[in-house]
Amino acid sequence: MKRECEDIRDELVLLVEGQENPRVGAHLETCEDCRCRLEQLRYMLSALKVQSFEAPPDLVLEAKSLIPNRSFRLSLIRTSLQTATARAPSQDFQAVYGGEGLEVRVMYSKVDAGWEVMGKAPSGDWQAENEASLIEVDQQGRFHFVIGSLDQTAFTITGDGRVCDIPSVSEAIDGLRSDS
Amino acid sequence: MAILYHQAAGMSLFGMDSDLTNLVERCRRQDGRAWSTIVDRFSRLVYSIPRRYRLGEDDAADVFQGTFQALFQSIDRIEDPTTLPKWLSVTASRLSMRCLRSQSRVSSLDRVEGGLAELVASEDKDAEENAIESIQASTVREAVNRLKGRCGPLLNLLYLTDGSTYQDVCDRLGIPIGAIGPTKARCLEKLRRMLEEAGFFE
Repeated sequence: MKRECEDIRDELVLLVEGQENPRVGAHLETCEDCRCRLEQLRYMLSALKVQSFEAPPDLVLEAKSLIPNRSFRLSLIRTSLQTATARAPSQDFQAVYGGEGLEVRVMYSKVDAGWEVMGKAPSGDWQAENEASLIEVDQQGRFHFVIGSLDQTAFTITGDGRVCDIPSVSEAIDGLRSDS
Repeated sequence: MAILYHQAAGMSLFGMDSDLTNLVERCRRQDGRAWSTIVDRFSRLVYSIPRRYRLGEDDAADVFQGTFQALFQSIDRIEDPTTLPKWLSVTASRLSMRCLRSQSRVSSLDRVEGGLAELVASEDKDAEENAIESIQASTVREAVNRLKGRCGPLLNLLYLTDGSTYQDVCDRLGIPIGAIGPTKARCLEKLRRMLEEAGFFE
């Protein structure tokens, strides 16, 4: 930005707010960049001044109730992981997560990139998601994804009007340890 | 100099497009958590529209609920989820105008040359313009909240909080009154640059 443009930068705002300045006016006649900035400021300030109202909380709650939030967290029911090596497994293992009348079986396999997670959703039309990325679920309900570490193996399955969170292996193991 | 500004077909600034697509897809599967996120994100946008049409709280509430009800019923038919902000704004605008029309003692048709067709076209245009204005305002507000340091709180107080004065800014942010003007100008320039880099003025 040229020095003169820098010098009048702060005064462009005053101009938008109605304070005329011959020096600024003279500069604007010769500088297209500053004219552009002036127009952008005008537009931005007019957008800032558009009235905005926060919706009352009870209205928001009522709108949300159109699709009830039926989210559940499934728990680890059983696993083939040996307690002794649970913290740093080095070979494939299985786990079953359950709750709310549902059961999800998952197999974890060690691969070069980390861990491959393979699972089968309950019967019906389900969608799976890991770290906000969609995972393809085939017609038999099977899905799989590859992730770097067992800390990142948490995923969510959605279907039947329910959202079910399956914890990462690390969280699930920690949960088992604290229960015992 | 003519400047064409962001037509607000979506809210593609600040990386919101892919997030919206994901949220809408999840809502189609009755994911209550995704729906809740959408309502939270757009509740201010939707509620502000009937209030700016000067509808009272009860009528504004009807428009608000009607808009989200319409979204719930139409969510499978929205082809491009990134246009959701505009869809919501236009819907809220139309519902607001319908409400105003039903309250008017003199038929709007009497005041519009060309009759019903003209009225519909005129209201569609108003709804579209209102939608764009609402989304632009919402986008700039979002940008203010993303400013680092004291610029966000300063601009929030000066432009987004009713009745705030320079004295309020001095008391709450500790900026000497004499320094508020220059600080404000620098903060507005930061905001302008942020919006420019995000493509707001294109």
